[in-house]
Amino acid sequence: MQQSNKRGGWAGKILKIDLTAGKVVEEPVTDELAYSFLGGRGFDAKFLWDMVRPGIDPLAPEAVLTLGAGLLTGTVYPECGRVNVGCLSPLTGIYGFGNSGGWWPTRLKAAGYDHIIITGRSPKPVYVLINDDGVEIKDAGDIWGKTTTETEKILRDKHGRDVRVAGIGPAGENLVRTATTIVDASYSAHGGSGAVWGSKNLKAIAVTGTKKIHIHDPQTFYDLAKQEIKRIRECTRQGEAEYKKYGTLILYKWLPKYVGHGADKRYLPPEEMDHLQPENLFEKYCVGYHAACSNCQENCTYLWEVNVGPYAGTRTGALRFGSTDYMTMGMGNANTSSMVKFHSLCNQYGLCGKMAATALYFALELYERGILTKEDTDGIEIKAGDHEAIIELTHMIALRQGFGKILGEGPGNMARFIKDAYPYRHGVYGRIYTALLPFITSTRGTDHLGCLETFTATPETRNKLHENLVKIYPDLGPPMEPGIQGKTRLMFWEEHHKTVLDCMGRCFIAGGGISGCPSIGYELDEDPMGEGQARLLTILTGREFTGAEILKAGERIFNLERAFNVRQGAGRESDMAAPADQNIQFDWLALGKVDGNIMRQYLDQYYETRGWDKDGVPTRAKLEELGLGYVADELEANRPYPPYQGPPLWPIDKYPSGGERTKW
Amino acid sequence: MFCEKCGKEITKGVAVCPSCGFQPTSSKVRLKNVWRVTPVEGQVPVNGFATDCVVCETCMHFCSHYHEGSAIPALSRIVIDPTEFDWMMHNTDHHLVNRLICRQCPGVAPCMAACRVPNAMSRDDKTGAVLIDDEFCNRCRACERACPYQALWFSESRDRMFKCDLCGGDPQCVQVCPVSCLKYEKIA
Ligand code: SF4
Ligand code: SF4
Ligand code: SF4
Repeated sequence: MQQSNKRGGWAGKILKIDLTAGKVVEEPVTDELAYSFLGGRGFDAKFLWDMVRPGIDPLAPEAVLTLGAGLLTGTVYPECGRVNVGCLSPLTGIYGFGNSGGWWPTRLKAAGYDHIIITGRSPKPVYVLINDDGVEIKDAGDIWGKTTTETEKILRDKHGRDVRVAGIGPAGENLVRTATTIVDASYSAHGGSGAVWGSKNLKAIAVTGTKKIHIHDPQTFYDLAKQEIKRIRECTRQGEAEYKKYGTLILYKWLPKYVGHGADKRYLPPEEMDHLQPENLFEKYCVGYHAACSNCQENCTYLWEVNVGPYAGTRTGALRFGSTDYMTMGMGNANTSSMVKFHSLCNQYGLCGKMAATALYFALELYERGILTKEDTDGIEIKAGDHEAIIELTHMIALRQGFGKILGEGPGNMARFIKDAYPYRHGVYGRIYTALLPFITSTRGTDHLGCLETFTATPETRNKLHENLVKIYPDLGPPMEPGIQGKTRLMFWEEHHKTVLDCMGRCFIAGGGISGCPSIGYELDEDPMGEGQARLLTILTGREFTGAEILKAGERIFNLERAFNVRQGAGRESDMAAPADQNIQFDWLALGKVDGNIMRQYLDQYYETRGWDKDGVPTRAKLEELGLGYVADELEANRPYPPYQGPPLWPIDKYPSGGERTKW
Repeated sequence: MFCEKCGKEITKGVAVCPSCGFQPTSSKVRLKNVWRVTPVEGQVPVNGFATDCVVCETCMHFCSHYHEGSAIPALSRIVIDPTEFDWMMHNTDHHLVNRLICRQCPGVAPCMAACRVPNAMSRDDKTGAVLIDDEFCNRCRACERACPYQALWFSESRDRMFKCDLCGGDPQCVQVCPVSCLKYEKIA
């Protein structure tokens, strides 16, 4: 395996940190790794497959945490400032990854690294400082226990203004399973990864640097980046303008009309939904702009402040639909200042808003069913619309106090602690989420981020996309007709497309609006194979790429992630949504009602399209086609794996707990 | 080049400006024809301040690629320094960002006055931008200490001074800012 010096785009080095020994090693990015797995999410998949043994405790020292910038991250190409965080998820027990924006990712590339791999467990709390002088593991005694904002502030004051910080808050330190990695104090990646940081006694990674990334043709690349800015600015796709104005909060306007979204049962009545409309939220709480990621044109995030009421004084950034929908619509809570407070607490403690809120949502359901009572919840009555209880419980989750200990195990794992709760569990692989067909096949448990086009694009876009895509995939079904016939082919293509975007570090919103076609340098519906993207990569890296080859890399990564899950026991049975979720009133892909039977049929068709066997295991033929023969070898040698049971949990009192209640 | 007094074009090296009779004393003093990139007063009122900057660092990426050949935020000639962490922690009442960029001070620029090395600093003929010539600069960093705006600084890794050169009259940062909160204007 050789590494060519002339390769552009990649910083060229992987940083391996063994915290047990306190040792730091650099490894080159080989051509083989670079061209087969691209970067970001792809590197994560490869490293986690290679380094994580099946069935281990995700919070054990031998577990692995990987963080990596995308291939286009740290270049001048717009809207690519993202980092992918990967681990064996303590929340779901399967492959866990999350993609986060911020300023940190570009600093990682500027420091000369594409990826960081963290193993072991430090004997005492530490943070890692990466700058031009090298990599240093430093004592974190004075920042352990601090919130994410305090941590960022302290480390920037100490190490210079260009330093950016990714790390965890008190929730991660307490090994809360819904804790997340917080990047630049506001952006979250994969609910679950926070506990892995905590289990390694790693508080934060502070990065800065001035290393140059080689670019094959810097002038053309620069011109293309400017052209892309022009394309983004001139984009008139549906939703682009609103998105620029409101960010994902615009979904409070758009989504409620889709029956079946989120927690349908406790939907707020329409008149209460008014409070949640983005215009009203903006007028009340928004105090200024603040764009998310480095080198982004969308400016989709803002700063929020509550001035009156019990939550006065709350100041936070990056309020999202995704982090607040369950705690408002799901919990029947129309108190919007509590929503800002909840979001702020999640940021400060380092909790994943989605996963923390779905745990609360599930608790509310169990409470209403009488399965949970006041005795179980430390005297806190969990009622729909009771925002005070929600905020109190959020503190308790992060600090692992009282009933918060159980909530902190995450929405999927809670059912294992609460007697009689099991039949009412939700989602797939313990992630509560509406189990729509396009969501259930994600490699990290129910998730919407594999499939935006399929339901948010306008009919014209979908038809045009179909026209172009059917030339390549003749078995593609008609997009606007009800039923599942041929729809799995669309998912097949789209999941790869999204995987590639994660590898590039590109935002899913970029240049297509939330309702359109995220893509790099081309219009997706006109060029579904991404030839435009291939040309860009050729100019960046100096190696000829084709669109088909890049999509193939997406397929390779997706299959590797699936194989990882197979090793964790995933199969057809665990791929099915929990029984409580098998009745979808309106599915965005099937464009109609979906029940357990249709879901099973869909999965069968999906496996067939993907070249997987009846149990959803990638076949040898498929894996070899993707150059993953070694994966087939390992699967064949060791199957069957014990069936999926969720992650191994600790006795509830064995976790660390406590800490200061944040005043923010 | 242009006359420092009246701003009319004159041939390089002439002793007296044919239009106004001004005698150029030094190429360092420039009263006319000075341009600069500067933040635009914003639309979003925040506790009495106004800002539009969204801390996207796009300007920093393009500035550093344009000059260094690859995007390295730490080597940008414009620095956007977020202060929102202080704001969130109630240390400050505003969340204005610090924007550090050279004002191209007309007349006698403090940085140039501080510079004792012949030929190290000069004015760009076209834009009046204050330029540093790395060949002559002896890295004493007197200019850095003299600038009242922290608008130029020394990079250890590159071993030279960094300051805005107005991209030779084609400022990149202004073109790429998504909220148009930088402008290129003639100040004198
Ligand atoms: S570097 Fe500072 S002193 Fe010199 S011209 Fe610019 S702003 Fe003025
Ligand atoms: S004008 Fe040019 S040199 Fe000055 S800050 Fe802008 S991009 Fe950088
Ligand atoms: S490009 Fe504009 S909005 Fe973005 S950081 Fe620079 S000045 Fe601020």
